[in-house]
Amino acid sequence: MNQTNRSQKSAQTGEIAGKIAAGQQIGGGDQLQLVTFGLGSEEFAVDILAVQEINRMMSLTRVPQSPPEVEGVINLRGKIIPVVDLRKRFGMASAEKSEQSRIVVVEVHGRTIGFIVDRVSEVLRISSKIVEAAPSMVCSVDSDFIAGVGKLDDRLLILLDLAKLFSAESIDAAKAA
Amino acid sequence: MSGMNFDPELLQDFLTEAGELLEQLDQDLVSLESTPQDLELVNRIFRALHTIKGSASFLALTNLVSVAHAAETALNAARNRVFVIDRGAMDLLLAAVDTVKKQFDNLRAGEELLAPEAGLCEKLIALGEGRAAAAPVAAKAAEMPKVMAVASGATSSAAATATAVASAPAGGGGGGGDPFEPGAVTSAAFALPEGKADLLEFLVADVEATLDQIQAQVTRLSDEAQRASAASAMADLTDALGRSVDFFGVEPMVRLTGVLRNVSTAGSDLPNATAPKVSRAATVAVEMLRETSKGLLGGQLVSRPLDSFVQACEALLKDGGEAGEPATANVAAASVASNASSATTSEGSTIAATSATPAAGEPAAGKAHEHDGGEKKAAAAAGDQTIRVEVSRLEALLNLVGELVLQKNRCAALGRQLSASTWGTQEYRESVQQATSSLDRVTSDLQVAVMKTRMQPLEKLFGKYPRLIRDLARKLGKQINLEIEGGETEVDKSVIEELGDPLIHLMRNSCDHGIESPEARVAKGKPEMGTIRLMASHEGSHVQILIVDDGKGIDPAFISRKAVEKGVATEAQVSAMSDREKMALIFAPGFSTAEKLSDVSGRGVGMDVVKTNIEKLKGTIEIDSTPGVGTTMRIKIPLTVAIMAAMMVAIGPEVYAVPLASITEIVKPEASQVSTIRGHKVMRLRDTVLPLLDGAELFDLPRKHESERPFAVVLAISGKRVGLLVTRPVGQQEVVIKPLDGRIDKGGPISGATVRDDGGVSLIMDMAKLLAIAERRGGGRADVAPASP
Repeated sequence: MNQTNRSQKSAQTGEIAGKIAAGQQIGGGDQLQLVTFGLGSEEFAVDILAVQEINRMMSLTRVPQSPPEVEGVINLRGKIIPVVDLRKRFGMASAEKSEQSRIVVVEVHGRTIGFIVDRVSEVLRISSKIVEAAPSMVCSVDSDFIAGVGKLDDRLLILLDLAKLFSAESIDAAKAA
Repeated sequence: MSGMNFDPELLQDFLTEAGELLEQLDQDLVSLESTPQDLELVNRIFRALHTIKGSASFLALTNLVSVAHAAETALNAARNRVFVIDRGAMDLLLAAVDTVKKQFDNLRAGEELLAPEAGLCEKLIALGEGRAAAAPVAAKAAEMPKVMAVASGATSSAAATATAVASAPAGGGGGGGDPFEPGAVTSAAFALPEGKADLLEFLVADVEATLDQIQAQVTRLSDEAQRASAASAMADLTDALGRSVDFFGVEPMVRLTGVLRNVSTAGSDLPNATAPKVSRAATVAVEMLRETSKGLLGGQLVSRPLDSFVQACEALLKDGGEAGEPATANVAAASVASNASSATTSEGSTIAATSATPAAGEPAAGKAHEHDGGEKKAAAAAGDQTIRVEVSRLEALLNLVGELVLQKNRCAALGRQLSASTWGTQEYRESVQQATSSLDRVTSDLQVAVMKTRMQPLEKLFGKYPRLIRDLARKLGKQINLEIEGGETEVDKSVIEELGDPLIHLMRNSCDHGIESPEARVAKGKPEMGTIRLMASHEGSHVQILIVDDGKGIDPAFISRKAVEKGVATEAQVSAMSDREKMALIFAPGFSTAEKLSDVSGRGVGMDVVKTNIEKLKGTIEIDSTPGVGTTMRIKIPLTVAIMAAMMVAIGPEVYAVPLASITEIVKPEASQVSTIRGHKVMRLRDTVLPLLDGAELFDLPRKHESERPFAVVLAISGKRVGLLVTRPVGQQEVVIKPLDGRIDKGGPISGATVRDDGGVSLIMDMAKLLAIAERRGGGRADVAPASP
């Protein structure tokens, strides 16, 4: 799986997400490799191939008149990238940044974006069989952003759809709301 | 025609390469109009067109090929003095180039190619026919229309011929049997792959036209005085021939073209003794090429054994040929010559004796061949000194260098700490210090080197203007001469891109409003022909561009009257202005002096846009004009927009970068100097009142400096001044400008971001937007705030 080329992989994940959305069970023994992280009491996951790196909190430069959920910009090896506070993006109560806070840097549609999470938990490999479409009221997050829900033995894992999460329309819509 | 599904990379290459040629074409054509006798220029234009046509036929862009071909036909005739290039002819040729340009746009947009305007090709070809009967070449040109007419239906007819021939018994007998050497000529059915077949007629016509020209040069080879020029002309021609022939992949033709190319390479250094022999051998090659290409038209591949001929030619070029060999070549040439006339007239006749030529040369040929190959490679390498690199790669490189500079700064800081400490031995501390300082030097050099890769000559822009001016002058019924100086001045690529539109606008203005009509000029005792001079030069870290015309100049009184009429300025304001300030009013939004609207200029949206664009480049524009004598526009722009000198200022917890060029001074006003007018802060600076902007308020920052007395950074933008209150200045720094993600830049007074020495990010303030905010607040122009009490 690690050798799988990125675009192929993301196409595949897109397909899975599509199937999940259509409410189908996924056949075959496809494995998903995910990075999991926490916001409050809930646990989220994104495809590991979308993740470029995970950084400790660093000082951010605020940008005037930027969308509210944009916390600021950082210097990522010479490239200036925006950092979004995921709590604000999801409309959760904001929390103080702690030692555990991390900036997860992802690439979505050629854009590099960082988002702040409360903590990063682990890298997990799960079977796509245990991933199901999200019920409409599963958590505090708008179900539009959820690619599926992974049912682990002891807990639920919310798989995020990064493309939707950081697309222009959704950000603007959130701003308008 | 469905030519839309070819390799996108090939298409991209074609667009870039042929695009450059096109630009050159425009320029050359315009200069040709004034010097129609310049044969070298005609040749260059011809070759450029030919190359474009060749590549286009490779991509099966038939519409493009037909226009290029028609223009080429006309030019060919011009070259042979069938007609003299006059204005009418030039208009036609330029129209052809314009059509090709539009087709390029189609290609870029992925659309179907525009068909050439009805009658354009016909007119061009008619031009090419000229007095058709006069010269043989003109007669050949007259054949072209036939070829063109066939082109559309060619696929089917060529295919039909191919099948017909294929059904005939294969095995050498075929079509054009040789009466003298029955075994020498082989002929086989030949069909081009789908997609190329309909271009066959073009190729053949083209190859034959080129061969005629090559033959002319070959003859000149024997004359010592003309040898060098003949060889270089031949080199270009064989290059063109090679492209066409390679495209069709007809093996014997490729080899024969190779022979001709070798002849042209060696041509200029040929000893007198060998030259005539080489010339004859080349003639043989030309005739054989003619034979094969004629055969192709009939769907047949006519060829002869070539190995020994090719080797003999190589040996001949290498060392004047082996003993005895020249004689054979003589024989060959002689018999070819005797046949040549009939070959051109009768389809079936062929050239004799070529197979006999080489036998003697063969033994020596092996080694000579290898040697020659090496030389050719070296020559090719010398001609190929540039490569194309995607801009994104250069940008990535620039980013990496920026990062390296940061790390270098960090190392330097650590080195300084170490030297100040007692850690390790003295020697150790010194060597660390040395290492960091040489690292410093190397990184700076590297940074400069990488920046240089992005530099391009202004010629890229200037090259378009002769055509522009010519067209404008014709449209306006004026006579204008454009002089360009300093086109080789290099600036950053992004500067070139942004500078194009403003310059065009300024030149248009000079033509439209500056230069007078010929009658008016004569009445004033000026020469009929007006002159616009476009000059570029380096001035330290800036480039200066001057546009100087000798037109009627700008009358300050007229400008200020117009400005008041249009409500751009009030009577009171105008009366307080100097002449220079009055002239600067033409840069005000909504100002247009054109008495009547023309499609040249005068839409009233021009000059302010020019100014805005130039300011975007952190540049300035000034006007200097003497009524009746002329106008000078002086533009100054930084060499690069990627790096800028900035003053870093702290506002509360954040550090911002302010373009150094906009700062006139930094003061720390006493509380008594600051007052409030209509709710807005102003300060008294010497004799003037300066509107103030509070940085913390502007950037929504916590007002931590409330207790402390702030500094005021005095900014001068477009002749207007405003003071920016900041907590404290941090220091001057060269900053690398980086774009902000468009999604988060929602119109704040920011033009980009940069990385500081310590790795943090600072935003760069946008002076134009700051000024706009100040003006909105002041309810008018920033520097005309009412005097303080």
